[in-house]
Amino acid sequence: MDRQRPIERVKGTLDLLPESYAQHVAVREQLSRLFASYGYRGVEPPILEHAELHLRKSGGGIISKLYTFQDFARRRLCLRPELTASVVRVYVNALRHAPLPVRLQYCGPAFRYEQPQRGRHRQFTHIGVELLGAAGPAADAEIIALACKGLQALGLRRLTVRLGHVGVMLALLTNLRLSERARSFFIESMENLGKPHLGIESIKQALHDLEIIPAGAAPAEPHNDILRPLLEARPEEAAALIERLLAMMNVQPRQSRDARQVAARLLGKMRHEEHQAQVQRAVDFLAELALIKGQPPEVFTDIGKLLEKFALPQQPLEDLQRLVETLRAYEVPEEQLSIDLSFGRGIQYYTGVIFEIQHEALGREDELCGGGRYDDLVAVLGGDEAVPACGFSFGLERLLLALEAEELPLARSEGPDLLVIPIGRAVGGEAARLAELLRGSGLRVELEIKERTLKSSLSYANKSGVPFACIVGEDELRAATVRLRNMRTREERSEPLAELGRLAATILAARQAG
Amino acid sequence: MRDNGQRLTIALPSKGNLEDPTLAFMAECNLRVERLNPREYEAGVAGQPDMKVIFQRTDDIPSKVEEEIADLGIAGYDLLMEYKRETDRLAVLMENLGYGRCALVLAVPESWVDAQSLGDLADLATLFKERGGELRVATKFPSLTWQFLHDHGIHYFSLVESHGAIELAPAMGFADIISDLTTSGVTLRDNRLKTIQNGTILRSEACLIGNLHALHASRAKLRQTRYLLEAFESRRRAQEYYSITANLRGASEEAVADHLIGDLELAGMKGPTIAKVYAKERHERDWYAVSVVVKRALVDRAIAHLRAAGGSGITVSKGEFVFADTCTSYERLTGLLKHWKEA
Repeated sequence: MDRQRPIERVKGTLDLLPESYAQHVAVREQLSRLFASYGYRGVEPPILEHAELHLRKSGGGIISKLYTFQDFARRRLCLRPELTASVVRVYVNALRHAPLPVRLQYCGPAFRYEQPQRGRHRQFTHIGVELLGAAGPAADAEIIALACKGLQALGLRRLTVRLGHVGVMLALLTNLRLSERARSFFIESMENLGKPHLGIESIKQALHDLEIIPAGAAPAEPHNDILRPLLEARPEEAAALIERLLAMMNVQPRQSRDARQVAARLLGKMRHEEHQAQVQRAVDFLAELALIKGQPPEVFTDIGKLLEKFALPQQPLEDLQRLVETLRAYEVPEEQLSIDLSFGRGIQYYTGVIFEIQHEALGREDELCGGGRYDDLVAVLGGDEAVPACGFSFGLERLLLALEAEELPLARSEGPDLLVIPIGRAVGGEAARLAELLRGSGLRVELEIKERTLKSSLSYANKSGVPFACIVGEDELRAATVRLRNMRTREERSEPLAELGRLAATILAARQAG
Repeated sequence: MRDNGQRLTIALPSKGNLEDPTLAFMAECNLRVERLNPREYEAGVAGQPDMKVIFQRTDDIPSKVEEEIADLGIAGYDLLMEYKRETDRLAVLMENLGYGRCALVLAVPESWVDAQSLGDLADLATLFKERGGELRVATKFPSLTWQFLHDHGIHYFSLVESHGAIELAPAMGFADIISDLTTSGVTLRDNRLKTIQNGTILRSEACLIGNLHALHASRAKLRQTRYLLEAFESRRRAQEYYSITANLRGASEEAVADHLIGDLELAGMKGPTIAKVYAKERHERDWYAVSVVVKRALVDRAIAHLRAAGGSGITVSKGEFVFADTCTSYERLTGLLKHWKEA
């Protein structure tokens, strides 16, 4: 048969080989222990979820990258693109009767259909926490402090913690009563507002491209003067009139939309101009929002002025002030903190304080961690009542890149200490028993299971970097001994079986000496 | 990897509306496909013992070329783009062969009088979602449609993949709108559907595709491909150009040339060719035959220009093949191959 073509790994995914696997596990365990020390207990939702979980509130940024498919029962499923929605679902399904607050931690793979590049993959690992059932700066501070402590515990230093607040923009959008689509657009555009290569101009352009603001004169409404009587009529009358007109023209919408719905929307479109003014006001606001960034306390003055100018509640400002105060108690280095209202997270469910932690050395994909407050998500996902919540997650792969960039010691893969080599089939059983005994005393032991010459076995040990070999032959067994070979020095000596404990101790000592 | 020997294998569409024009195009290019039996799946190319044709379902051609079952293929650009997302073996060698034109468009029920543009569709998608539903889009092109909608800020929709008559979906109620191929728009109108502003996902025509790995590995196949590209390209160019000959009176070749070059656009690709006409009557020995090659759109002007100069016996003919200095598509291919390596 021809040699088969090897199967490549899926684009945008990584293989963890023993070295990187060990690093993954070490970072994961360290963070998990830290989370536990703050009272966060582990959960592990499945990778497969109903697509609906993310369609409800995650927003276009996530949905457009969602791996979705129909299973054999024609259910629309997805590979989770992040874990917060899943953890909230777990809470709603199984933990909603638990006393609040509920503190949960998790770690696992997530999937997004991205353009792969350094620090951005199609499968990546999120490790994080969610704090459910607690509102206010004390909860926000716990989360943000915990994220900072996690990075500190790993030894990372070159960090910037950006604090923002989605509530400012949300309050404005609510006041303006924008269409749902315009509202979603602005929330998601926040992500690009603070990016130097995008910014407010790119958002204005997108408003035109997506036809939220029609380019030039509205081309769809050439008959506005004819339609004026309709616009001046009471809405119900106008809608009824349009319906009758449609019927007269034999236009009969069927199936998913009836004449009433078509008429209602047509009327809504005619009143578009009013809406345009509101959209413009949101753009003006964004332009000002983009300028608000800096260190506390100076930046607080600017925020106060902006809120006042647009007649918005001062709550977000108070949140941020108290948050910064509380973070001081956690000894989060103040020079790492910056307040920046020009950034958004590209996910729609956030409602309050949001934050990101960036690493200096990672270039464009520099976000190690992101999170914030999402007070509506529990209710959106079917929870009994509004349970305020917040959380964050680290991107594990990026943490490893940051550790590498700061040249911090990485965990090493733990190879075996010893290869037990039986000489001849007759002593196979004895060798297996011996290997078990040695494993029991804490050694990592491989048993030679290939029938090959002693020379090839030793060569295998040598090439795979196993430091010791234990040779078990009939002669040795008769004398109640084994031969221990130091692979590096090639010294061999006879060791009595009665003193296996001492043998194990020697090898352990060698391992610790490195 | 499959061994096709050193014969260049070309996958051509069988059945479907690309079959006949493809065979006609090949014949025009002096590459007549010789099929012993119309049901035969393999065929030869007249006068080209080193080329082989295999017939494939149109939909399968991109994958057959990617899998190297064929080295080259002719497929609709639409199908190629639907199929090709992240393969680096597959490349378009010539994107417009001049036939099989169509467009993949979004179409909504005519009765949606409030829906005229993509912006309306985005609004409607949000509206459907608010009502707890989803805008359902029937299509045979899920990848292209999915990407297009998301790129245009439409995130709440579901695709209904169907291989039957897509245009029936809204009336039958299993989709709200469709994304489908159209050439004239008649089928859409017959089914009381209409296109919307900015709702064209892709314009398509037949194109030539190739497997870079196969062409990289075999000089012989690359040589055959060059021959094919030369033929295709010069034939396509010939469809753009006309050759005009006329008799013109003038004091000298120079004088005639000066007049013709007076309108640079009409002076031909390089410049006019001028030859003396040895008229039977000696006193008529001041006639010159001129010939120029001009773009199709300029033929009328060129004739007027020649007439104004006293031209007579003006003959316009279409070239069979028009070769330029170099074969653009072959040069592009060699460029691709130079940088190509197995990912």
